[in-house]
Amino acid sequence: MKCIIPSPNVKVFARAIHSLAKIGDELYLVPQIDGLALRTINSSRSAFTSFLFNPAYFSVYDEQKTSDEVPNCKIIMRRAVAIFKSISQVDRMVEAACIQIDPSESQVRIELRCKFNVTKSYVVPFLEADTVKAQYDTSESSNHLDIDSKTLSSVFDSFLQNQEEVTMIASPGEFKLKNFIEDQDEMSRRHAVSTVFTMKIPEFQSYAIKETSHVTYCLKELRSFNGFAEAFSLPLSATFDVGGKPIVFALSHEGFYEAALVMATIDENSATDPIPVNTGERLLSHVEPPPKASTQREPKPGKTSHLTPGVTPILAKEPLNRELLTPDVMAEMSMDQGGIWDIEGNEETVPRSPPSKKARVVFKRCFDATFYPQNMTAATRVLAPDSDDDDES
Amino acid sequence: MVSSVDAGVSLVEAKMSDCKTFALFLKHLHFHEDLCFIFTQHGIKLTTEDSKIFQANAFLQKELFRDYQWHSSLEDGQEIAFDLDLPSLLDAISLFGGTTASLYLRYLEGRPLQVWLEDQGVVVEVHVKVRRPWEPVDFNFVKAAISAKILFAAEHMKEILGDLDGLSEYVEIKIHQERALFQLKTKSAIGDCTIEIPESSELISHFSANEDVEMTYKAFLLKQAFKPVAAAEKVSFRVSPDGLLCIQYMIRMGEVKSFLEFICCPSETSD
Repeated sequence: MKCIIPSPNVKVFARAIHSLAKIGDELYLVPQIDGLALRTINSSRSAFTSFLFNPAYFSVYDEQKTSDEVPNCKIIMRRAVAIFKSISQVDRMVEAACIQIDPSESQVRIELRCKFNVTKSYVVPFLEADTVKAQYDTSESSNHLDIDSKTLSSVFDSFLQNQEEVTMIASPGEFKLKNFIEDQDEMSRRHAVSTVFTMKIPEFQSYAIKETSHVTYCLKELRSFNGFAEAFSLPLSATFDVGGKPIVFALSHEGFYEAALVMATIDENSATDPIPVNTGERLLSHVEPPPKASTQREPKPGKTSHLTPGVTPILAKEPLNRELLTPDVMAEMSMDQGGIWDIEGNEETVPRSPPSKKARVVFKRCFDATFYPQNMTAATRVLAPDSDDDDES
Repeated sequence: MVSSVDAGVSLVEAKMSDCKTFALFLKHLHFHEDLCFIFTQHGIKLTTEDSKIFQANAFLQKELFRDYQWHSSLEDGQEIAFDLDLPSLLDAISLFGGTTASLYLRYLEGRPLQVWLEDQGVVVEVHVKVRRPWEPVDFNFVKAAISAKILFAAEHMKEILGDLDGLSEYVEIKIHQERALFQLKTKSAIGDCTIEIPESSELISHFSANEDVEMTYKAFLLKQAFKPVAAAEKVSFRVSPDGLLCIQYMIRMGEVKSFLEFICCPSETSD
């Protein structure tokens, strides 16, 4: 796949990468007929973000599909951020960005053509292949609202910077956002600061709430996503149901790009548990039957769940010999399904009890898909020298 | 202003209205602790070195000083050289922080270097111990033949040079004679990066290459050498046939031009 981004659009691309970087550590680049998708998923698998840049966004968009295979292109996020490190510098200096995905060499080539005839070329190797796709059906969601990103940003300013989760209480007449306090011992709960932000309906661009719902989700990822929207003065739309079902935030710049943030929400019924659990279910990957069902291979155009509500789920890339999960089957599955989606690999889709949230926070790195030794910040200070000395006889 | 009881004759006295210039040069030399300080007839020369593979020189011409007194007993061409601790001198010069204090340096034979700073009536006096001078490596760059020489306008080079991959251990410099191209390359676990500037670019005001140059240097040394680009007006890259790289910055202070240069020995990589 080869594409060229003209000057004014490069900074949008750069901001998208910065936004994705605040959510996940690995960047998936998925070239499709309807554009280039950039995706990431956070380490606790509770938030998935996808940006889709339509062909009109590029000055050249050449998918160059030589086979039916969609290349699995996953690169380390840090590299992508380093390439587009400074938004202001990108804006000032970069005249065009050329991206080439080369599956045969398992690498991405990014060339920034800058002012004064300077060219910066980067070659980034792929990480081990897998794909990630969120599947959700927003047509069944009962609630929808649209809000200006600047307004939302000022709402977030009322919460502490390190506030992890918030609970959104949307009722037909009123909207409240409050910080979510984990169930801890009585003492800590009494001393925790509680913030409640109430908004009236006219503050929204549209507000259609069929049934009151309490939805708790991560604030950090939403802040980052909204940051992108705010930079380009785009409104955000939210589609959601009750707690436990995923909430989808979406933005779009008509014809050029669109983005979605899908987050797991806490099931209020399990709120009595001492440690709340992420139970974003109903988003298991809809896996393919073995390849002979070739008509189902490609994500059909117009059927991506990318942003249009009421669209059918994306079919995940196939590993072989998986049971086809129909919506009925999924509905019967226990509410305790861990994670929203499966990462393709050799693991089976066996229901497992999800790791507790506290464990996710404490043992964050264990839930990372990959481990990079250079990321270790643990003690590099050697407390005792090697007892084996080469010089000793 | 002079409160010292030294009644001896000073060999050199130098007064500067603004110590910021001096501090700037010292900061760029601050990758090593031993500073070779030389007073000459024409100004002050400062040198630091790292393991004999990397050397930085700063020239502060006497025109930079409001007053530069060279004792008459000293012969033409004579130099007064000594070694001192760079961090101590830098601390002394920076005692007033970022303000524009005036600086007065005085040296008497065999005595510590006397440093006075004055800002709005407040005077600070510091004596910095000096040691026997050491001999910096003479890379003989001036007389040596040059394989390639490129002059850049420094203004936009900062963004280009500052973009080097932080994880890369080595930086490769390639100068293509035929294609008239300057390349900076880095390689690391997370990918390769190549920065290319052709001769036709507005950034290059002079390009000459007698042969193709392909040399590798340690990244942390070059990073040190790239730091002054933000303060400079022009920067030149010169490479000798042995691969010695000399990066020279022209820093303009009002009407006076001062020079800061870094000389770096090439490294051999396992590639």
